[in-house]
Amino acid sequence: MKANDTLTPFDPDSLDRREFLRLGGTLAAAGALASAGCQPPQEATVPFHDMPESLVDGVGRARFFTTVLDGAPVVVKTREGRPILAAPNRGLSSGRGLTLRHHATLMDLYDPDRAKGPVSVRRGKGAPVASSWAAIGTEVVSRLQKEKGQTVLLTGPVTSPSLAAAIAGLAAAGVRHVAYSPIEPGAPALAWQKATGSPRRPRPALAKADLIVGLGAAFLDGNRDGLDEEFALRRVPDQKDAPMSRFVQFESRLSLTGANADTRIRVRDSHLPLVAAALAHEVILGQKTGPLASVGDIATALAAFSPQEVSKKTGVSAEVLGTVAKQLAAATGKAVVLAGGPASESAGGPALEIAVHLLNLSLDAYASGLLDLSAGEDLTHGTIQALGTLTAEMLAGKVTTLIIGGSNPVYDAPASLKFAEALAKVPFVVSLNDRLDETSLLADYLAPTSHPLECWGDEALPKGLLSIQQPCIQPLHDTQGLLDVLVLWGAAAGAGGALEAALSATKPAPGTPANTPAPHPSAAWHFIRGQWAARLSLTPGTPEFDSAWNELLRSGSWQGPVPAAAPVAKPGAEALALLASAVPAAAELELELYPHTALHDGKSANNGWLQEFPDPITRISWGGAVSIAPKRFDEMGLSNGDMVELDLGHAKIVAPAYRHAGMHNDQVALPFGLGRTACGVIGSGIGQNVFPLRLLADGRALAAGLPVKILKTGKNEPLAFAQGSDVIDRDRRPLVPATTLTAYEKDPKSGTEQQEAGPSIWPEHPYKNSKWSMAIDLSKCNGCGKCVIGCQAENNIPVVGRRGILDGREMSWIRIDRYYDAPKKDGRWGAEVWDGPLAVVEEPTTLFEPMLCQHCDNAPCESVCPFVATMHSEDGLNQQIYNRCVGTRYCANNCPFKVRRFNFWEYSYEKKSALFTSLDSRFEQFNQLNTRKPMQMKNNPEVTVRMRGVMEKCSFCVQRIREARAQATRDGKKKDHFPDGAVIPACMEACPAGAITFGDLNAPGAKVKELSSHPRAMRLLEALGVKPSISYLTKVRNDKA
Amino acid sequence: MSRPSMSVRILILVGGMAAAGSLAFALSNARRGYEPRQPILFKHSRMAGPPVMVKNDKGEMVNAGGFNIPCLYCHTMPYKGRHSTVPSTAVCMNCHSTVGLNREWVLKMKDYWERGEPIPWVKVHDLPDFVYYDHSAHLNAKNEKGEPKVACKDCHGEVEKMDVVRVQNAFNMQWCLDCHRKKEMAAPTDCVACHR
Repeated sequence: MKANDTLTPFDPDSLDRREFLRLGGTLAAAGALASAGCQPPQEATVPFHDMPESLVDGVGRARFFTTVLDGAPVVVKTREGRPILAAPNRGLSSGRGLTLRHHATLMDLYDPDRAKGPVSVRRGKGAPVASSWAAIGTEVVSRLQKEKGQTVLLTGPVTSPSLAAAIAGLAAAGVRHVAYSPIEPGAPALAWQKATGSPRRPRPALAKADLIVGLGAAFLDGNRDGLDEEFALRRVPDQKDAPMSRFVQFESRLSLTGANADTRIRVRDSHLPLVAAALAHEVILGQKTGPLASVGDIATALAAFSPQEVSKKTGVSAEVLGTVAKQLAAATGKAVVLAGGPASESAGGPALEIAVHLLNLSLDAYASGLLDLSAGEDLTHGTIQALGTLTAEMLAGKVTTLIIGGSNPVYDAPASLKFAEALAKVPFVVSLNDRLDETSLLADYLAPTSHPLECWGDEALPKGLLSIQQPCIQPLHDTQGLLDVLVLWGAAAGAGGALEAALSATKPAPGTPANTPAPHPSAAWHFIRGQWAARLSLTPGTPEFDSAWNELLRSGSWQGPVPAAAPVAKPGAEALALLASAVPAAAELELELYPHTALHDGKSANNGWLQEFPDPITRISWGGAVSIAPKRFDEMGLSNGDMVELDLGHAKIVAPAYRHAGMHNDQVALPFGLGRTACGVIGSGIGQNVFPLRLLADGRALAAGLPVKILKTGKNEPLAFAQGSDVIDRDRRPLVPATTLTAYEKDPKSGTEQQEAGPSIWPEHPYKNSKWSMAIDLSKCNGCGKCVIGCQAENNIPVVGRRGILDGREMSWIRIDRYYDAPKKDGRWGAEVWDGPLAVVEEPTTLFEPMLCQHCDNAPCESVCPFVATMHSEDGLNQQIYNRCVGTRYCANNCPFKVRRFNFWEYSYEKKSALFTSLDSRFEQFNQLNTRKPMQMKNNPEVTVRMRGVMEKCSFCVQRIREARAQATRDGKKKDHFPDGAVIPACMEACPAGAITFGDLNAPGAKVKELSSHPRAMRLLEALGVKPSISYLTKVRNDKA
Repeated sequence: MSRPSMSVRILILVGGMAAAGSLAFALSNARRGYEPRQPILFKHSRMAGPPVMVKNDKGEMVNAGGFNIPCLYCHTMPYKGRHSTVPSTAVCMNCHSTVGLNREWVLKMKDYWERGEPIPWVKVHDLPDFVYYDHSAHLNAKNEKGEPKVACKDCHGEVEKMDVVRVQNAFNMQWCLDCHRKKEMAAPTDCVACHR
């Protein structure tokens, strides 16, 4: 640049190097000055107006409540008055356990799509308008008074003693009660009623059983009966006091229960009754076992079911039936036979149940306590028959007012009942559901009910145990508990008695001085206390009652009288006649409808955690699919996600196809709980509703053995799989330690063989004090996935939606990998093994492996992070530091376990800007899934909510570790070692099977030390020299007959 | 040598500005000296300072200094929980239901109390959201002789001498680590000690 050029006009392209630097330097200095003047954002710190006594801020401020949720006792952790975690109440052996739905209940509580207050729906004519509790109450009460005897209350199953008492009290106001449950054990109820005169099904004591034979049993498939916990107690090969049990399962669709069987035999649902009868024939008549062997009419009833005969009809070999029967007979007093799964809901279901009953009688299962009648469960809390009768009355105009509470028959009743049509004939309908669901949309009013964590209630548990449901948070919206509403309306309508007393107790007694505290506002609270006072023979308000009540709330349970178990007599002629329904299937192909593992009946379909949870077997999230046997699937030339039409004669349905390993060739299956149309923006329109497909017969809703034809449609809709591979060839990739009991007894190290690690270039970590470590016993793990939801709740893990899963961007820190083990063969499996050859997937051996960050000593992720955002801690944690992470994703690429998760999108902060939402619809979708108010209330304040562009992964629940350390400091204790139980991560807390053990490897006597040096222990990918902190203990299958 | 195109140069400029700006921000102790205005002009020196007895116009001895109230009277729980807690209005009312009722700010506080509204204090010592600080772990930490390693004033300064609370230290990571790295402190320097 020449000196006399200064007057040249500014031309950006003529900037030379010097000028560029000069200008740049000035601008940078200006920027620096401007930023130096910046102040941190001003934040408010708002204290209590009047702080309750003894509250401690921070971690210690978490408060725990024992309560009962949907029939299972839980401990709810609350922070600043909001529930943030529901965990099992381990202090209570209640005969009930948590399901995935219990663990995910926070998403139901904080569901933004719940009704915010009463609305006048006007039968869907026009938009719903806001109403009030007073207006609805007045109308209902005036109708109750006018139309005595023509008012019906329709509820779900009623298992709360207080709710039952209130409903009984309502009868005085002329209200009839009908209970209906969408997923109803119809066949067991019928069989038990006929066989024993009582519809109470006994609870199996699996911890006592040496041999378990399941006939379509589903005790691991997401029930709340806690059997998964007991089953796991006997699944370890090296416990002296509890030798390994053996589990043989006959079933059609590979279920979670069947995947855990030692031997699994494929039988289509409608043939299961025949198989059961053949086993009974062989055990009772062939082996002459038990008291029934000499009973003439039993011999006659079973005569047609000899193994040879049944083998001819079903294709199950007579030899297999004979062997199982022989094993059963040999294990008399230590064996139990179970049915009662979805397969029992076929036409022959009652025969199956009776045959199983005969088997258990012969095997002394009742006398030896393997089937506990006193812990029985009444199966007739809600029946389809009652709903059928009600619908007929509604159609005939005999019902003038219908109050629906906690039931959604427009969605889940069989189509042939025509419930919606009948509902239109009822002059006045009030819905007491929690949202504008399918049924509420056709009602006059929706009077929304509270979530169980918001209102009072109680629950009868097995063995006379009673539990109180206490609210852990004020109602978030203008809602009331079902019990509150019934007490209020009943008392106002003149039901009198306890209802009246409870209502008047909410009002100050006349003549009380003005400054006395107001009485408790909840009518349900007064009603329940009245019920309990009678039970405890105390008067409410007395100090004795108050202390008993407080103890009840603290411990969460009260032991009432254990119901007497009448001795089981031999079934009479009426029961034996049910055996006649065991006939071979007529149709070439049959359909089974089964409860969705996570969503069950679909009541919580708007729960993003449950929708995104990948089914443990199919690994499908966000929807369901028609499970088709691999052979039929291949013959039809299908690929996963191809839409197929199922023609049942009375109905047709189109759904995506899925190649389901282990499925019987003559059967297809679809899950319940999907296809909601009005549950909210998250769950509506996901999957297909199959409830209407059920057939009504003999007062039951048949959900299995339905004749069906299958047709291709030529369309495809990709399934959201959370896992890419199915089959594992452990010869090549020894990633899951597994063996058989015989091999294990020969060599305890069998199944853990893998390549030795080469020499390491890394120095050893010293670990002077604690070294956190985990051991996962694959023999105990049943693959249920409760750890996944427990972790998601504890660690603020977002939901990524169907598109996110399809893109492979799931966020769960712990996943359960499901593999089908390729059997050993001469020579090696070629590449074809990855495609799931029929030889592997027709009779699969299923392996489950919980996979989470292995906290490797020589972590490959640590050495590649250019920002040192992931590094090793002194106590052996692989730390992920979000505020340092800039999202290069090098770590995820270098992780051999693929456990690192990247926030590709802003999942957890609301993007309000219209600019963003107009750029990509996914911004709006992630708001819907994660950030709409009041959803963020579920967040654990001890864990950072991660933003876009940040890598994350399992932290071994470091917040709990740090809290344990802080507690040790507060108590003035040493912090060099921590005893077992000082730190329990969320996955371990949620695991019903006790498969996960976490602890300080260097602490004296640590359980995790014992387990990780066990011969069964194996650290994955040893050959890479990464030295994981997690040991996996071999999955042992009991092959010893 | 070809020169970078205009857009590249602008990019470099903007990038340089951002880098320089953030470096300057990180090096500046933006928090030190922070002294926000509070909704109520509460003088720590008056409550927690030492008493100073003086004669007033009438010749009576009056306290022109402070009342020597210990920190923990209002800021309960720092020994038990993560936070030290800002006192609830009820704590103010312990005394001010009877004393100081002719003062403007006391009446303002009382107004909050009567309306049942909490007082929206402005946070003075504000750490980033990704820092999990625990008061109890610091205050309960003892050296080998059993003496406390840290006292309130080591971080917060002599609050009892302040009319308006002012941040006395940098309150950034460097400042935390300066102390954590001291041998006699034996404090953790793991990332997860503060970040999780």
